[in-house]
Amino acid sequence: MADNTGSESADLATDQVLQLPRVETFDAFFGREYASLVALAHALTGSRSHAEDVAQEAMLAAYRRWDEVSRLDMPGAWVRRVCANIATSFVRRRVVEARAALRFRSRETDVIAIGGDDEAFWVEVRRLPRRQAQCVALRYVYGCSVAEIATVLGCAEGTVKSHLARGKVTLAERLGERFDEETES
Amino acid sequence: MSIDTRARRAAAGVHASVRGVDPMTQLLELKEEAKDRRRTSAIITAAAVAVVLVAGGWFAASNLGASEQPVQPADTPAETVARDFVEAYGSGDADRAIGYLADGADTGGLIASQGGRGDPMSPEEVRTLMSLLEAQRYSQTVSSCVEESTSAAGVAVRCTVEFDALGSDELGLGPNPGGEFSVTVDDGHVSKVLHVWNAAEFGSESWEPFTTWVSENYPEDAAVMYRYGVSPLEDGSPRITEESIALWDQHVQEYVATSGGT
Repeated sequence: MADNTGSESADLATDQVLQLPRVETFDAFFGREYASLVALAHALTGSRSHAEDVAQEAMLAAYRRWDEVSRLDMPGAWVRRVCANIATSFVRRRVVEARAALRFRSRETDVIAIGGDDEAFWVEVRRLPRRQAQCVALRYVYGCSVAEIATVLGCAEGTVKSHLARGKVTLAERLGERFDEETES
Repeated sequence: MSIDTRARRAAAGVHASVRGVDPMTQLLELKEEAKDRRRTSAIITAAAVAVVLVAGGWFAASNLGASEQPVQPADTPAETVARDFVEAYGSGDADRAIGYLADGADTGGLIASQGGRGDPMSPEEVRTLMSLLEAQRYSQTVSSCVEESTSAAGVAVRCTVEFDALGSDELGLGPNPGGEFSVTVDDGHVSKVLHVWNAAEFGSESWEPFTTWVSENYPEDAAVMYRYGVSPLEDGSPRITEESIALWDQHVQEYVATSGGT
């Protein structure tokens, strides 16, 4: 386990001497990624009270393995995958929610409700098959490209294109909107 | 409005919902949480898992009656009812899936995907089976739903799906094309259903390697996860119990991580 609270100045000096690439501190990573991760969890769970629990669980997984995760090309992609998997897994969500309940106090969440039309969209996203829902959420919450979604979810770009197209056709039908055929990129 | 425009607006809405979140406060909480968990001994962890499972089961059970159930008019096309049921079942939405079932529906065929053929299951047993699918990281995309025949029992609809399970997507082995649901729809509800995976490649590339891995690395757990006479590879289908499902969740996660996924 990395010493996540270690002295930055000591790290900097060592890196300069050895010419090592800088590894981001967990605190900086958390500050940059956390709010978007809560947004992703909120979109995929629909729960204001548990969105932060799910995002925290994903971040906790990163914190405990920060030695490895920080050296990945895209640590953000790793934590998004964990978050998306927890948010869309019945079993893993129940474990997170039950663990939160065992803290004997409810989290005072700063997450506010999503407006009616927007919430109606996310309700339909959550009705999609799991992978389609993850692809749509990553596409629009993060603005990820097909290649980035494929990296986050660890699957082929063709699979992502297929999930996105099917998901959007279904959403257009259910929400009474227009589906414009476009090349996903 | 195009669905892309609607999606972008909805994304702005979800970002607006988290504007008040303060990462630094949450970071302190996370570090406290990490310390707490480190202090927990292996025995307490095991006890907590048991409590969590019981609490999770209670939570799921207590929400059964409270959640919104789908209401289908009797004249809804059978294909639509079948597709909606299959999508709800495959996406793990137990409340919705169970809401489509007729009273006394013959759901024993749902367990065929796990290599068995059982008696009709109660709604709670269907919910537990769906928890097993989640633990197996099952996901699917419906390819088609087509009416095949009509009889006194209702309209028979065949839905084909592409599916992933046991990390086949993360390990580059999926999606598998052979998933199939045979659904009988009567008076707007599902009266009988069969679910099979029908994919030889999934068997040889995903199911058998995972079974071998569990049997070799966790033989005692394998005895809880599978019911079998000779070996889980020969004649094993999963046990549908909470204890078994917790082990499936744990070992599938570890298997995928050690095989190159996360």
